[in-house]
Order: sequence, then structure tokens, then C-alpha cells
Amino acid sequence: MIEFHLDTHSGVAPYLQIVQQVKQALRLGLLEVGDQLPTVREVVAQMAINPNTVLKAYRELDHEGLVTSRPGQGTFVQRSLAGPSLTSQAALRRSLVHWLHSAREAGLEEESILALFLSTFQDTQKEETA
Amino acid sequence: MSYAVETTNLSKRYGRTWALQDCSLALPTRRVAALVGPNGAGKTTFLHLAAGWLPPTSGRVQVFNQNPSTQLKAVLPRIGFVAQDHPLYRSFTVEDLLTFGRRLNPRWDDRLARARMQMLGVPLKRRAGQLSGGQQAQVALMLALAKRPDLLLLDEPLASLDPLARREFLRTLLDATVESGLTVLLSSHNISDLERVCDYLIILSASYVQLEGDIQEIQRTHKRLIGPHQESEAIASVHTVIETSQTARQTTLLVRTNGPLFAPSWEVQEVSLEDIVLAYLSQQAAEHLSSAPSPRTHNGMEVVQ
Amino acid sequence: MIWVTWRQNRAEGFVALGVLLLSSLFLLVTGLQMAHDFQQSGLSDCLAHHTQSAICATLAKAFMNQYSPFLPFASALVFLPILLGVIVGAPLVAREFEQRTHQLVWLQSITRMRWLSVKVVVVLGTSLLAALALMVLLIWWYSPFSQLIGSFNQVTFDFAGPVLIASTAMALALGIFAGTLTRRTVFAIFLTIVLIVVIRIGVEFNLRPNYEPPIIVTWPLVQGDNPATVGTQPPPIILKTQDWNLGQGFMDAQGNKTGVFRCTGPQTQTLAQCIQTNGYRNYLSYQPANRFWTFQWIETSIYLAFTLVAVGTTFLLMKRRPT
Repeated sequence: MIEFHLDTHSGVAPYLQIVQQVKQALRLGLLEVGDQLPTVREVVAQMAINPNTVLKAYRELDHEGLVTSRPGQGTFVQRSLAGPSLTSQAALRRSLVHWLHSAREAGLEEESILALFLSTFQDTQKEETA
Repeated sequence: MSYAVETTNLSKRYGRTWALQDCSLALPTRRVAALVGPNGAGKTTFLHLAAGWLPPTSGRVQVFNQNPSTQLKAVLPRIGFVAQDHPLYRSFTVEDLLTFGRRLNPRWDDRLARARMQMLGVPLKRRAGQLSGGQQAQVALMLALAKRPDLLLLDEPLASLDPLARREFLRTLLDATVESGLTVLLSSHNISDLERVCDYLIILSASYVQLEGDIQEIQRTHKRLIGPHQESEAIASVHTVIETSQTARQTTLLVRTNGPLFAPSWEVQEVSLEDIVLAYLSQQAAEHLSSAPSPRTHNGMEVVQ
Repeated sequence: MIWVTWRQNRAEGFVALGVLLLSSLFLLVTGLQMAHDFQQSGLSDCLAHHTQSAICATLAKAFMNQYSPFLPFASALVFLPILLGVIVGAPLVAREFEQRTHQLVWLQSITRMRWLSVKVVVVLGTSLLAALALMVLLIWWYSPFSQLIGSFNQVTFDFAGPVLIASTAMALALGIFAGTLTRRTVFAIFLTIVLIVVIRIGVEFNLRPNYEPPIIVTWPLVQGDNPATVGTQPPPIILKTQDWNLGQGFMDAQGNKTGVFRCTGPQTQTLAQCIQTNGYRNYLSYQPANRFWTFQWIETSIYLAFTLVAVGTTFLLMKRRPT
């Protein structure tokens, strides 16, 4: 069963965080088509957040066609996200290792590598959600 | 839209001190609302008036379209109240308190109360005075919830609790709202505890309502603008400026937008709820807003950037 | 709410019940013994037939010697209502304010007036029943003494009739009123004691002897100058045991009562001349036995009036100053 985490200082609205975490789970294969999402009550009990936040997140996911609500039964995954298969993940891993070697050879220290990666990652994130 | 609590020019005076002045707001049902303001702002008085504890000096308060102080018999069974520092009969055991609730409330749900106590691990045979602070708060909450109220009022319920107890308390509270159509109004002088929990906000300061509305709308309509000083007047003429600060090179404005925002030479930022609340409670806000009526931002205004 | 009132006062209730049971036990045991002796010794017959023999006098004296030490117990009972007013009455409302539980109980589903009404009725009702039981027991216990020394006296009057019940009600009502007024148990206790003492003393010593004007009998002094013998002329009437002797002494021509002669006029006059000048006579002041029950009901009404005023004011305070 997927567990949600709320980062109150991220500046991202709580309901969006839930949406993102569901999508992430779909991408990683933690959630598959037909799986049931936690009930509103379960999420509220786990996270101590406003139930309307959860409802809003689930409505958003429903709107995007990723999940569907069956009255009286719950919310179920309807569509998976085109996520990388295990083999493409392995390929990505190899190119990442290669990149790390290049970075070290260029003389970057660990902290600089991490900073470079994070800033590039965040910049591309902003471009994607805009 | 039906309202749990509606006030019109509600005012209350104790002796010569005004605790509340001209408070007008409408809290829709099924919301979890935060009543925020500094100590002495009138929060407890507001909750007391909503519960029919005392009559207003002037103005009107309605709970589910009834006057709580004159129609006490009809309204009181529908209201749950957890007073400041959650008072309990210290010599009563938890079991005694359950009997107390059952005897005094027509809509008492004993099964629910016992289930909650068991789930939280509160021993029924222990005296209330011997429970921990967190457990006492949970018992007080249980007493209010087992009454099956439609409106739950809590006066600074988290103030005396440690962070873990606070989280547990909120968990119990929110769980109760999921299974019933409960409307919750809780007061605090600290908004950061309540951000994840509340979807409605009422800011009370110096006995006036400074702001009230859906938190989503509030965050959508409040922006931080950073830009050249010369254009401040233009912005201020269209939108309401809550707070200003200036350096030699730039001016920062915290505004509540009244309509579409056209500000090409300004950097527009989102504002955290805590910063919004602090801005309204500041001295500047008191000066800017003292004559303006408190705005309601839950009827939806479009903001175009 | 009845259960809540009981549960809140459970500890005090048990204490009061314990005191009541112990007292009752004492009264029962000693009362049975006294009644037995009273009957067996023949004293009962003596008094029933008004026999004036030496044997009867001896029996009476023996009975009093043996059992009069129990009498202070009966007179100590005047403190029980005060205790009740202080222990149960004063905290009844005050404690709710002190512990802030008024914000808990008044926001359940019950109105303040109903809350107060139930509390007052339950507490007053049970106390009145207890006082009634105690009164009946005491009257039975005291009956030998009643025939020997009478019930119409300051101490016995307190418990030999409905005055006991009314004074208990008043003590409680004053306690509840004090608690509602001061909202602090300690102040309330102090105020309750002051009120009870002032009222009781005022009624017992100033009003009680005068519910109807006392009968005053006067008769002349013995002729002569010897102060030792001058006042020894016996009164023309003999009081019954059931009459209330209010006092004896000397009265001058103006009707002023005194225990000693105050001689105005020339210093060298004799005692006989002084008596003549001031018009001194013997006097005896008393209330006849047939007024006992009238007096009981008058005093009961007085205490009940105070009770009603105290209870009424309590409700008024609750309405006017709800928080």
C-alpha cells in the first residue's frame, strides 16, 4: 500500500504533492492498473491532513484519466504511466554511472556533482510543470 | 450554500472593553476552519458567542440558521465544544466521563466513544486527572465528538500539547470529519500547526475580522510583488496592499488582488499562508484595513497573470 | 443530571451518610437503653401519674445522673446543618467555576437553569429526608428527658420539631448561594458560616423568646432589710416541665428587669426603703407549653423564608451573570 509524505516547506500545494507521488508510484511500477488507492480515511489517518485535500488530489487524477472512482468501493488505478521498463532503467543506470565518471574526471567534488545535478533537475522540473 | 456559522456585525463588549467589533462572516458547512489571531484578539469570545455561551452586545450570530443563545435547547445538542486547556472532572474516571456524556446528551454515541478510547489506548478505569496531557485532550475531544455534533468548536486545542500529541489529536479530529458531515472551527495563535489541516481561514485581530475565506482562494489571490517603487501607486489603486517594504533599489508589496493582475515589470511570487497571516496581523495592516470591510474570497475570483 | 449530581458529590454523600448512620446507631443504642431503664425503674409511671413522692424524686435524680451526660450530644447536632451547608452547599456551584468545568457541563445539551435546578433539588431533597429521619429519631430518643425536663428550651427546640428540617434546608441554601456569589469555595465557606451563625443567633436569642409576648408574673418581695432573704418569696404559680422558663429576677416600677437592686435616692436609706422607692417586685417570665408547636411553625417559616430567598437569589445570579 502506497504511503504519502507531505513536505510542508516545499512550496508545492499538498494536493499536488499527492498527485505527484501517485504518478511517481505509477512510473516506478509500485502501482499497477486495477490497484486500489488508499481510502480518504486511510490517507487522513496516516498524514493528518484535510480530507478535502485528498479528495481534490484524487479528483485531479481522475480528471487526467489515471484513476477512477467507484462509488461505495474506492478509487482504482485505471491507466499506467509510460514508465521505463526494467531494461531501459538498467540502460539509464549505466549512462548515469558513465556521467558520474566524467564529472569526477573533470575535477568536480561530490558536493559540486550533487549541486549540479540538483539544479539541472529542478530547472527541468520547472520547465515540465509550466 | 448552507452555512454552519453566520455572523452579521457581531460585537461583544465586556464592561468598557470591546472584545469583538462588527464581525461579519459566513462559514460554510463541512469545512475545517482556522480562527487565527494574537492572544486577546477575541477568538475565545467569538467561539463563546457561536456556542450560545453568552449573547452578543450587538449584531447577530446564527448557527445553522438559529440563534444559539436564545434557542439554546435546539442548538446546543448540535454543537460540540472543547474549551481552552480541555477541562475535565479530574476525579472522574474515563468511564465516569462516558456516563456523564451519555446522561447529558440525547445524541450520545457510546459505542463510538468507547471504540475511540480503546483505539487510542486510554484506560477507562483511570481518573482523568492522572492521564497525560495528550490523553486528556483526546478524552475532551471524545466527549465533544460522541455527542454527534454538526459543528465542533475548539479553543486553542493544541496549545498545551507536545508535537506528537498534537499530531495524534489532529488525526482523531480529521478522522471524525471524514465519517460525518462535521464542520470544525478551531482557534490558534499559530497558523503553521493548522496549514495541513484547515481549508478555511478567519483572521481575527484587535477585535476585528481582517480576512476570511477558503484557503485555496486566499492563496490564489494573495501575491508578493517585487518591483520599482514608482509603479507602487498604480498597483495600489487597483489592488489592496496589505504590506509594503522598501529597499533603496526595490519595493516589495504583499497584495490581495481585486481582479486580473497586469504587472509586467514586477516579479510575482506566491506567498505562504503563514506570511499572509503575519502580514494581516501586522501594524501596517491595521492601518490600511481599519476602514475597509472584511473581504470574502470564497466566491471565486479569477486571477490572470 | 441526577446521576451527575450524585457522582460529583459522592464523597461528601458517603461522609454524610456515615455521620448519619453513626449518629443513628448511637441514638438507637442509648435510646433503647434509656427507654428500658425509664420504664423498668418505675420513673415512667411516676411521671405519668404526677406522683410527688420521695421515691419518684430519687428515681428522677438517678436517671438524670446517669443519662444527662448524653445531652451535649443532642446539643452538638446544631452543627450538623452548618457542616452540610459548608461541605455540600458551598462547593456545589463554586467548584465548577474554580475547576473551569462549567465550560464543560454547560456546553453539553443541558441549559444552565436545568443544571442548577436538578443540583439544588437533589441536594436539598436528600438532605431534607435525612433531617426528617434524624428529627423523628431524636424526638423518640429524647422522650424520657422530655417528661423530666421538657422540650421547650433553647437547646431542645432546635431538634424537637420541623425547625431541624428547616434550619438544615437554610444552611444548605445559604451555602449554595455563597458559592454562586463568590465562585470560590474558600470564600463561600467563610461566607456561609458567617451567614448561618448570624441568622441562627439572631433568631434563637432575639426572636424565639418573643414569637408571642412572654407571660410575666410578678409578686412582692419578702419584708425586711436582709438581702439574703428578701427575694425568697416563692412565685404564686408553679411552672410545668413543659413550660419555657425565660428568666426570673427583680423588676422595678418602670418594668426594668434586673438581677440585683439598684438603689437610687439617698445613700443612707435601708434596703426596705430602697425597695419601696423603686417599686421592686419579683418577676417570672415564661412561655406556656401550649405555645410550643406554634413557636415551632413560626420559626420553621422564618428559616424556610431565608431558604427561599437564598435559592431565589442563587437562580437570579445564575441568570444575570451566566459566565
